[in-house]
Amino acid sequence: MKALRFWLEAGEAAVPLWSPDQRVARGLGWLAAIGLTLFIALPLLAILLQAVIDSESGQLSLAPVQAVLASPGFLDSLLGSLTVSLATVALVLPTALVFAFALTRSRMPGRGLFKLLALSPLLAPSLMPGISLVYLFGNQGLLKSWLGDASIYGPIGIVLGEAFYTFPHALLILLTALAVADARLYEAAETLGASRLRRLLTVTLPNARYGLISAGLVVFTLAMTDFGVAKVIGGQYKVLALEAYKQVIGQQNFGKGAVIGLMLLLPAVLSLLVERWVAGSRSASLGGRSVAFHPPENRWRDGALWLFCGGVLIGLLALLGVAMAASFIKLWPYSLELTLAHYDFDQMDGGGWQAFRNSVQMAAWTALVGTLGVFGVAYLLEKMPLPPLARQICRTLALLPMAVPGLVLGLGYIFCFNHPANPLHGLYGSLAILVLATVAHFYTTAHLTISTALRQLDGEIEAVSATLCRPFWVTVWRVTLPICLPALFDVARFFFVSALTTVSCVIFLYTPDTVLAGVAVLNMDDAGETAGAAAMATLIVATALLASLLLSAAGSLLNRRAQAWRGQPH
Amino acid sequence: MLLKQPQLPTPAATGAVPDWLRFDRISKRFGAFTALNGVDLTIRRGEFVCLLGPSGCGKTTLLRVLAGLTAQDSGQLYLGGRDISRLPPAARDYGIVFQSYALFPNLNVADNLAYGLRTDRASKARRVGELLQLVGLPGCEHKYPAELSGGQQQRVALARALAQSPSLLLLDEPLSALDAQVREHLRRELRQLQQKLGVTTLMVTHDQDEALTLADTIAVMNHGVIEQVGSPEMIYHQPASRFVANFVGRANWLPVEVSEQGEVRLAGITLALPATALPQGWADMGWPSTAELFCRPEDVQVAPHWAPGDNGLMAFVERVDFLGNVRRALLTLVTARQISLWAELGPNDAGLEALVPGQLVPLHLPANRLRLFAEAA
Repeated sequence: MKALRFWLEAGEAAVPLWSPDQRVARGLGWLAAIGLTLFIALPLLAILLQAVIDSESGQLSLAPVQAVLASPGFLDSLLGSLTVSLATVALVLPTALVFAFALTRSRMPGRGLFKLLALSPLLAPSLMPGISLVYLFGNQGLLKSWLGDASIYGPIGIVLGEAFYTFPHALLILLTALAVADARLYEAAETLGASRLRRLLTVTLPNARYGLISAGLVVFTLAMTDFGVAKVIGGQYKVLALEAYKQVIGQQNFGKGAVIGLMLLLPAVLSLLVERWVAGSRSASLGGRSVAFHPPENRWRDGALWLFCGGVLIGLLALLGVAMAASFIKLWPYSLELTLAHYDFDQMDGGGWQAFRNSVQMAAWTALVGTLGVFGVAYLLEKMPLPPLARQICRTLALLPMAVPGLVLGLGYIFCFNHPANPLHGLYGSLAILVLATVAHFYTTAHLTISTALRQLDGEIEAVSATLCRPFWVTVWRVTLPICLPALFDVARFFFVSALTTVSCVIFLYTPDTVLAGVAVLNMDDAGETAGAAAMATLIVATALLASLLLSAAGSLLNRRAQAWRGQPH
Repeated sequence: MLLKQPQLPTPAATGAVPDWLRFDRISKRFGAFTALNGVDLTIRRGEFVCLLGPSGCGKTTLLRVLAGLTAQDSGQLYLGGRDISRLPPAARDYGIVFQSYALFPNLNVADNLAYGLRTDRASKARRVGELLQLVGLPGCEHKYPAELSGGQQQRVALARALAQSPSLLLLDEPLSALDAQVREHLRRELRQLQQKLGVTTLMVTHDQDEALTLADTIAVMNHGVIEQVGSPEMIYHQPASRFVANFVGRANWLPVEVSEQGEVRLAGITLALPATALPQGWADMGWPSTAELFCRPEDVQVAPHWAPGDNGLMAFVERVDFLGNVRRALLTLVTARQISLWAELGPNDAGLEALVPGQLVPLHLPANRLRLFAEAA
């Protein structure tokens, strides 16, 4: 017992000074570590074991991995995945860079609206662009002739769909990278006689290079691990993510699915390592004495950028809007009468309206559980004297989900919670497991948002409260939580929208009772009910939009009420 | 007096408990870095003590150990005879003001002050009113911290620290975030308030002026140990170590020769030195052949005319800097031009007119202001 205690508190001062509330915090820290281990670490361990344990002998062996690697078609899938992912990066990265440049470094009119529209793909499931592409360029597509002899069912369709799906992610990263600009650098370059082009090449791009690398990695990983687009529009073209999906769903071959899933984990882990390595060598690009950069007037530049951004938006909105429009049309493109028939989901396979109700319920729970859980863990990590081991576990596991594709996490949940020996086996097949898996899948982004907000608070607030004889939960309730509310609303919105649109993580976990809207889109498309799938996708977009607007409105209302104390100190 | 301090010590009583607060061999390491190396310190009841030192000397760590916010590796703390070494912060009976003030930004001034009070609404409001009166901010109850100036925020933080009438007040660089004029003003007010309440105060600062004007006692820290404890006059005029002499005020360091009998000669001239100017133990352990003489620039007296007397030397004026209230001159000794020293003269000093570059001036080093130190390693 003594040895255990020593081990648990190793690395700390010999004299513990914990007040009763700090003891509670340390207990909660262990609880958080256990929770994160159960719902993030164990599923990943389960998929790993599944891949290296021979299903017949039960022995540890690399035979299953070798079998998959040697199987016909694996190399094709791998090459296919790499091809479309790299092509997506090549298409998205320059486009997003110019778009981000236009939003941050020009005086182009309508920048706010452009940004909102450019981020709209975040509201849609990744299957949606696939459906739109079918309507536009498919066998009965309006614009089929544009492609000539080429077919949209294959790499072209996949790349276009992935580009739609990944564009807002790249844009957000590049906007952050370009938003910080030190005017003094530009003034210095100008006084040294550098031309505009030279300033772009020597000041703007080098400062954004970490953002570029980061955005490239994110786009590559997303495109590599998504199977939704390939499922809808891939035709006979083989990609790894779809292969894993087919092995598990179509052939119940869990072992092979696990191995392919692990292959998908590789690029994600690699890109995380590269990003860490790059981030380690960067210094703060904006010091305390930086002067904010205000772009000068330049009609030609602004006009050209406006045209470019407009073109990109037309493309994005077409892939969003065509499916929406088609969902109201009787028989695209032959009978253009308006109808709501496609919304009569209960007449179709795929889950009916129940799927939509489940989705909203699941998203609401995810937003609630996720936001409070993430805040709790982040608060303990940032502000409380946790035992070092618990702290290390929480830190690591909070950042791990970033590197785990939804498909892999979902598979891990099957292996972990479908195991009869698991005491939490009862969760399997419930709505709760869908909520937990979704929270785990999107954990890292939420964690980083809330940690950043918490770090902006004065570090001595907890110390002052302790000296004023108040336990930390009083301080959380009266001070920390009110100050962090805007961040909490952001995170709740993120969780809600992500839970509504996600397919990859939950595709293996739903039951007929807990079928979700995103899954219904997939199933209806599979069953040939393309219009029904478009209608359900439209419903998802509309709900995500409504929830975003409501949460933003609530957030800004609170912000206005808090203006008295958020005012600038003089 | 607006504040009722139940155990308010009278000035006469303050000396009664000489070791009311006691640090006993406090040590703290952060990895390979030793922040505190066996610190001993005792503080009288009602005393105003400043922990003075450069950044990284361990002064803030010592304050945080006393506050219970950082756990010491070894050593004990006693407050009023009670061992508080292992008590959590809330059980130690002190108020603290941090450098950042750490005011709760979303609570107004009244709620900030009442945060730790556990009484009914009416007595809370009464106490808040008293506290605001005390720090000179009456009527500020409903303002938010962001609506206050830096100096006002500092007063609110001070009032909050005093809200529960603690017997000990801890201040962590409370004035360093303010601009010079406000700082000087608040310094005076802080001193008056402390004397009025008689609350024992421990303040951390790196600003020597602040320590000299505020403190009853200064503890100068360096590299995790206390180099000297004493009154401001003692710290300034009789520094116990070369570090203290350099850190507080400006210093001239003059190379001197020491004979076997203990005669000290500067540039060939034998100096008259009181026994207190010599480091203890030198007389017993044997004299070093060379040493360094410490003398503050303002103690160097420049005379308009030569007059006979002890410790008189002749020097050339090399350079004169006008600093407003004083003139600072760089002098070199006539008999040893390589030895230079600074002299600071005020507008009323007799020798001021003689300070012209190139001029030969007589100077006098007052024996009671000189101290001898071993040569720097």
